[in-house]
Amino acid sequence: MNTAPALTRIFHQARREWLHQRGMILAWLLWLVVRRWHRVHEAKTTFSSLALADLEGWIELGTLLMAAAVVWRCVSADAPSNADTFSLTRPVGQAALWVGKLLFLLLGVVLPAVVVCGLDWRGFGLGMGQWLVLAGTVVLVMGLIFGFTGALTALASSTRQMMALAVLGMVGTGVWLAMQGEVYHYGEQVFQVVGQQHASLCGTFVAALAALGGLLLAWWIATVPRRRLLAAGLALLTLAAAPLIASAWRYDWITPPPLEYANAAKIGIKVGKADKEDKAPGRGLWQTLRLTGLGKDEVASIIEFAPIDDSSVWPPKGSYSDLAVDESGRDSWLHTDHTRVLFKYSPPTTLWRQSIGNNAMYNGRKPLPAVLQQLRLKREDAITRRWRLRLVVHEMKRVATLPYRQFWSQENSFLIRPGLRMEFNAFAWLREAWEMHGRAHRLSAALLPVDSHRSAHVRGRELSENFIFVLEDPDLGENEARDPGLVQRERRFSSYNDQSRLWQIDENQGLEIRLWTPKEQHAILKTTHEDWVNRLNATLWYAEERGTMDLELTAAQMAEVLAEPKAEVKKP
Amino acid sequence: MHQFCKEFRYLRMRWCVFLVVLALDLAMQMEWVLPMRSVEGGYNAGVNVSYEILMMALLWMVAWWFMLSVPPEEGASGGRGYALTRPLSPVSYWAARLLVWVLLVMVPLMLECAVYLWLNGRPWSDVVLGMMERAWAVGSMTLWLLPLPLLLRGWERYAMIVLVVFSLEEWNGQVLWVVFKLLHLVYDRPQVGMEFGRSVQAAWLVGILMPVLVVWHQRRPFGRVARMSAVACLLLLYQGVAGSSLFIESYEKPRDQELISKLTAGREVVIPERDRHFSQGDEAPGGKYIDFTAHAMLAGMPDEFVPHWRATATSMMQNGRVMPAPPEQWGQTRRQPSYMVGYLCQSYPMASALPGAKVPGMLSMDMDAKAQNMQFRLSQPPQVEAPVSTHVDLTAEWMRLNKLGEIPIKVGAQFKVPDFEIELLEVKLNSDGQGGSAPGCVAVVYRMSARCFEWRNALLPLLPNVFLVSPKNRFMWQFAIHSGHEQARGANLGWCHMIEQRAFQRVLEHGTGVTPENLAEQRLVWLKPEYLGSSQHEMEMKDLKIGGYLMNREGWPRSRPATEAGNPREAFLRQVRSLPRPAEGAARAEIARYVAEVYEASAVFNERTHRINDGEPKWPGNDREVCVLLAPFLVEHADIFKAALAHDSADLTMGVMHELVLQAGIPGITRSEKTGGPRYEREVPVAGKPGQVRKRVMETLWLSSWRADDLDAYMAAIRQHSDEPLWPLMDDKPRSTDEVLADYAKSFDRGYLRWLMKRPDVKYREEAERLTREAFSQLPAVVTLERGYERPLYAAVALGMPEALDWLLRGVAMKEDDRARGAMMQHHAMFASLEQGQPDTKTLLQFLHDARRYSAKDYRYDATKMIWELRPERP
Repeated sequence: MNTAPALTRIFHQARREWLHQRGMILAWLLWLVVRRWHRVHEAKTTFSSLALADLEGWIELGTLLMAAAVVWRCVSADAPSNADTFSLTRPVGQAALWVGKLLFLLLGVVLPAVVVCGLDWRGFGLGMGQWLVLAGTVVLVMGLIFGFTGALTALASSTRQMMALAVLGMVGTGVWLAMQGEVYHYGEQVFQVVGQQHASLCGTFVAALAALGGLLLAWWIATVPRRRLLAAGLALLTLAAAPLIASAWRYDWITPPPLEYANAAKIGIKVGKADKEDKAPGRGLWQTLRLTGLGKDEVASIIEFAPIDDSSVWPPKGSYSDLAVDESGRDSWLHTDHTRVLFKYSPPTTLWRQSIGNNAMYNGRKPLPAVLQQLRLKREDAITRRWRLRLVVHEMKRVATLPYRQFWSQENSFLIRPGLRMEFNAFAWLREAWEMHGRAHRLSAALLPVDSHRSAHVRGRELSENFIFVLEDPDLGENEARDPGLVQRERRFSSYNDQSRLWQIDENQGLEIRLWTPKEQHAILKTTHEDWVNRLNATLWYAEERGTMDLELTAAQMAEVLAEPKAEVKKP
Repeated sequence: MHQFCKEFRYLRMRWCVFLVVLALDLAMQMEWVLPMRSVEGGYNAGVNVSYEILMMALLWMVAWWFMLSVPPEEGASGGRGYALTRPLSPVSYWAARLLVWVLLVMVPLMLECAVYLWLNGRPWSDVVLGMMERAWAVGSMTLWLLPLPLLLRGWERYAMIVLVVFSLEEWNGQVLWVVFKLLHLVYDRPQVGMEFGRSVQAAWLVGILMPVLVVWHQRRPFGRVARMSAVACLLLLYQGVAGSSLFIESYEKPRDQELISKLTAGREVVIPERDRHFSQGDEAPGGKYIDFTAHAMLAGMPDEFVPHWRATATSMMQNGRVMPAPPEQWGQTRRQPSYMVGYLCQSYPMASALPGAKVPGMLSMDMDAKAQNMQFRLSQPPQVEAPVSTHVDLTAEWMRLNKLGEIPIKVGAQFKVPDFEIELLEVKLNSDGQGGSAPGCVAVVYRMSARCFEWRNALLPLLPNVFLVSPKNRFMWQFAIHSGHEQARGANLGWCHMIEQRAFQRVLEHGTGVTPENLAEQRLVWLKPEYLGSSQHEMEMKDLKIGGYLMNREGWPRSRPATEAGNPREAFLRQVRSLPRPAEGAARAEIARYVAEVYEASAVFNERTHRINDGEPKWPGNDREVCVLLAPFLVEHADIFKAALAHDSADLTMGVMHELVLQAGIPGITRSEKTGGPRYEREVPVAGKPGQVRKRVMETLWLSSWRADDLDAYMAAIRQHSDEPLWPLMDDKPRSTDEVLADYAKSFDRGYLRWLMKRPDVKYREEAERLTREAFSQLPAVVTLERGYERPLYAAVALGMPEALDWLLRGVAMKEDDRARGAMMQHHAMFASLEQGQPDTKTLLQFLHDARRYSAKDYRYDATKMIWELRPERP
C-alpha cells in the first residue's frame, strides 16, 4: 500500500483537528475578543466599576489556560505515550501527525491571537520591523505554551498523570518563586538601571527561544520516535537551563545610546548682565548667564549645575536642577521657558496664562544665591572653581490645533512619534469640575527599540515625553497654557495602566486636565458655557528632546555670573 | 476497623506527606523557618508574598488531597465499587471514612495547635480552646470532603483542589462583589487567616448541600461538566454566605449596649455651624447629590465615648415639594458598622477621649480640626440658593478606648498583659518608615503578639492603635504611617505574632519639647477601640440654604506662575496699553469685552499688589493710568463693572470709581494727601433741626465685593454731582445688643466680645461668657486650629481663660521664626494689638520667642482692658 504524500497527510491531520476542536477554537476567538475589549476598556475608562473587579490577572491567566487547553486536547487525543492510542494504527505516520497538529495550532490558535492583538498595534506609526517583532513575540509566547503543554501531555500516558505533573509544576514554580524572595518594587528603583533591565529582558528572550526549541524538540521526540525518557530528560534540562540562561545573559541590544545635542558646537555662553547694545544677548537661564545659538523653538533646561571637584564624583550633593522629581506623583517637568517659546505663535498682544505642574519651578528658577546655599557654598569659594552646566534641550513642536469643541464632543488621539500616541477622552463633569482624562499610550516591541536614542536620564528617572495643552481665545486675545498632568510612570498610580506583556511595551500613562467654566467672563460678557467652548481653539504642543550637552564655565566666568548685586533704586 | 486499616494501608504514604507538611507549617508558625523580619524599605518595598497564607494553602491542599484519595478499587460505581461486593454495611464504611478523617487529619491538626500554643507559653485553657476551635473549623469540611469522592473521579478531584484555591483566593470575591452590589447588599469577605468564624459557619451550613448533591447524582448521574459546575456553584454559595450579613462573629457584638442606651437617652445631636460641610457630587448613573459631612456630638455626652454617625434615612423638601432620594452610596459601610468606628483613631482627635486620668491640655499634634465623624448624602435641590428642610434618621455607633499598656520609647521595652505582649524592637529617628529620610519623624518597630481565637479574640474587630504620647509636654501623635506588617504567624492558631512598623511625623520638631535626647521619656501607648453599641436619633435642618455652604469657585483665573519675569506692574500696564480701546459711546458688547480683557490681565498680574515684610508693597506703583482708561465706561455701563466687582478683590473697580468721583465735582470730595484717593468731609445740616450741623467724614470711599450694591450709591453721587447719595454709606445703622450677641454667637468675633463685656446689663456679659466657654469646650483638642476653628479659642483668650492661653501659646511656640507674621491674630487675641495698628515683624518675633520660653502662668490678665501681660517679674 502506498501512503499518501506527507503534505496530504499533514493537511488531513490538521483538518481532522479542526473538526475535533472547532468549538474550542471559536471559544478561543471569542475569548480573545473579550480580552481585547477589556484591555481597551480598562485603559480608556475613568472610574470604571469593572476596574474594581480587578479581572486583568484572571483574564491573562484564562488566556494562557485556554490556549493550553486547546493544545492539551489536541495532543492528548493521540497521546503518544499511551500505547493504546488510535493513531498508532493509522497510516498517518507520527511525523505527519505532529506537524499536522502543529499546523492546526498555528492556524487555529496563533493566527487569531496575532490578528486580534494586531488590531491594537494600528495607529502607532510602527514600521514593518516592529510589526514583525510584535507578531513574533506573540508567536513565541504561544509557542512556549505549545511546547510546554505539548511536551507535558505527550509525556503523560493518562490525564491523571498529566494533571499530577501540571500541579507539581505549579507548586514547584510557586515555591521556587517564593524561595527566590520575589519582591515587587513599586519605587523608582525599578527604573534606575535601565541597562540592567534591558539586559534581563534580552536574557529572558534568549532563554525563551532556547526553551521553545527544547520543549518543541522534547514534544517531537515523545511523539515521533516515542522516546519518553529522552523527551522527559530534554524537557527537564530545558526548564532547568532556561532560567540559568536568563540570569547569566549580559548583552543588551535594546538600550539605545543617549542623544547628544547635535548643535552643541554652536551654543555659546554669555555671562554678566546683558548689554543693551548687544543685538544677540541670548536666552537667559539667569540674568547673568545666557545661552546663544539655540533654535527658535528650543528650550534648555538645567539637568545639573554645580562646581567641579576632580577628587570626587560630579554632580555633588546639592547640585541645582530644573528637573527635580515631583513628590506629588506628577511627571511635570516643563516650565515657564517652554511656555514662553509659544508666545511668537500668537499675536504679540495676547495675554498668556499658564498652569504648570513643575513644583520646583513654580516661582521661577531659583535665584543664584539659593543655588549656592543649596550647595553650601559661599560666593568667595564658588568663583574660584570651574563649574559644569549639564543641559537638556527640547524643541516645542505643534502636534495639532483643533476647535476646542472637538475635545468636548468626541475622543481624540494624536500620533506623536512612532510608538507614542496621545489619547484624550471627551470632557465630562466629574468630581465637581470639567475633567478631560487621557493617556500617553506607548506601544512597541520591547526587543526592538522604536527610538534611535533614549531619553535623558535625570536623577534616576527617565525624562518622559511631555506636552502643553494651550487654550486659545482669539476673541479676547487670551491663551492659557496647561500642563496635562501626566502621572509619573515610576509611581504606578491607578491612572498608570501598564498592560505590557512579555517583550511588548503597552503603557498607558494617565493624564488629567481639570478646569472650570470662566464664570467671571460670562458675568461680564453675558455669554454661556457653550459660547465659550465654541469660541476657543486648542493646540497640543510636544516637547521633543534634541539631546543633552555639557558646558563648562571657568572661574572668571562664574565670577561674572555670581556678580555682587547692586542696590536697586526703587521707583516711586 | 478493618475498613479503617485498609484505607490506612493505602493512605499511609500520603499521610506521611501530610504530616511532613504539618510539621513544616508548625515550624513556620514558630518561626523556626522563614522567621519574620521588619520591613526595611517600608510599605513600598514590602514582601508581596504572605508565607503564612501560602503555607496555609499548601497545608489545606494536601489535607484535601489526602481525603479525596480513595483506593482505586473503590473508584468505580459511584466510588464504592469494591465495597459493594464485600460484607460491609454502608454505616461501617462511612464510619471508617469518618475515622480516617478524624484520626488522620483532624487530630494531627488539633495537636499541632496544642503544641504551638504550649510552646508559646499560653495557659492550658487557651490550649484546650485552641484544640476545640481547630476541631470545629476542620470539622466543617467533613460534609464536603467525605462525600466528594463519590461525585468526582480521578483527575477531577485534583482539578477541583486547584479550582478551590484559585476561586477562594480571588476570583469568587470579585464576582460576588458585583452580585451583591446588584442586589443592594453589602459583601464583606472574611479576612484570610484572621477571620475564620464566618467561613466555618458558612461551611457547616452550605456543606449540608454536598451530601444532597451526591445523593442526587447517585439517583440521576450528572455529566462531568455538570458535576464540576455544581461543586463550583456550591463554593460560590459558600463564599457568598460567608461574606454576607448572615453570620456575626462573637467579637462583633456590642460590648455594652445597655450603657449606651442609658447614656444617650434624651440627648440632642449637636453640630456647630462651622462643623457642617456641604459639597456637590455627581454619580453616573445615579445623578447629582449633596455630600454632607460634619463633626457631630450628643449634647452632654462624656468625652470618652466617641460616636461615628450614619444616616439610615434622609428626606428633603423645597417649596413644599419632596426631593427625590439621592443615589445610593456604595462601599461606605462595611457589613458591620463597628469597623467604621475603628478608623476614627487615625483621623479624629482623641486627646479628650484618652482613658484613665485626664491630662489637662493634652493636644493631638497631627489631627485636623476639621475632623469628621458623620457623612451621608442628601438630595440635590433644583435651586441650591433657595432654602430646604431636611430630616435625617441617624444611627450613632459608639466607641471607647481601652488602654492595653504603655512602654517608654526605648529598644527592648515591653509589656505583657493576658491578651497581648508587645516588645519594642527598633527606633528610627528622622525616618519616614518607607526607606526615606523625613526630618522630625520617629519610626518604631515592635513585635505584637495577641490572642486571636474565634471565641476569644483580643484583636478583632478593631485592631489596637499605638499612639505616641509626651506626658510632660502634653502632646500626642495619633496618625502613624503604617509600613505594613510583613506577615503574621499563628493567626489561625489562636495566638498570633506580627512585626509592625509605624512612623509618626512632626515629633522631633520645634516646639514639641521632644528631642532625640529625651525620647526615652516619651511613651508609646496602645489603645484598643471597643465597640460599645449604637443609638438612634433624629436631626432636622430647617431653612437651610445649601448654596451658601458650597465652595465658591468664583474668582478670576490666575496664572501659576506668572508667565513673565520682572515687574508685574509694568507688565500689566504694557498689556492694557496694547489692547484696542473702544471709543466712548461704543456698543456695550465691545466695551464689555475690553473691560473683561483688562480684568483678566489684572488677575494674571495680581502679584503687583503683593506686600512683603510689615506690609510694604513689593512692587511700588499704582494702577491709576488703567483706572483713567476705564473710568469713562463706568458711567454708562456700571452694570459691567458691578458684575466684575462680584468676582474681584475690588481694588481695580474701586480705583476706577475713585477717578470718577474725583472728577465729578461732588461737594465735600477732595484728594487725600495720605492715600492719594478721594476723601469726603463736609458739614451738613441735621434733618429736622434747623441751625444744627453735623460733620460727616469718610477717609476712604470703600468698595468691596460682598457689598457690590454700594457701587450704586457712588454712581448716583457721580451722576447727580451730589454728596447726598453717599450719606447712607456713612450712617451707622444702630444695632441692638441682642443683634450683636446673636452675631457673636455665630462669629465669636473678639471685637464683639469686648463690646459685650462692657455692657452695663450683666445678662449680656454672662451670656457672652457662657457662649465663649461652651464654644471653647467644643473645640477639637488639636494643636493647629484654623479656618474658622480658631475664633472661639481667641475669644476664650480674650475672655481671660488661662487654659485657652496655654493652648494658644503652645501653638505659637511651634511656628518657625520666618513665619512670625503668621502669629498676628494670636498676638491680637492676647494683646488687642490690631486696634493700635498692625504689629511689626520684630514685635511678632519677640512674641514667638516669649511663647517658647513662657507658659500661661507667666502672664496675668487685665480684666478691664481684656488683654494679657507678661508678669513684671519675668524679664
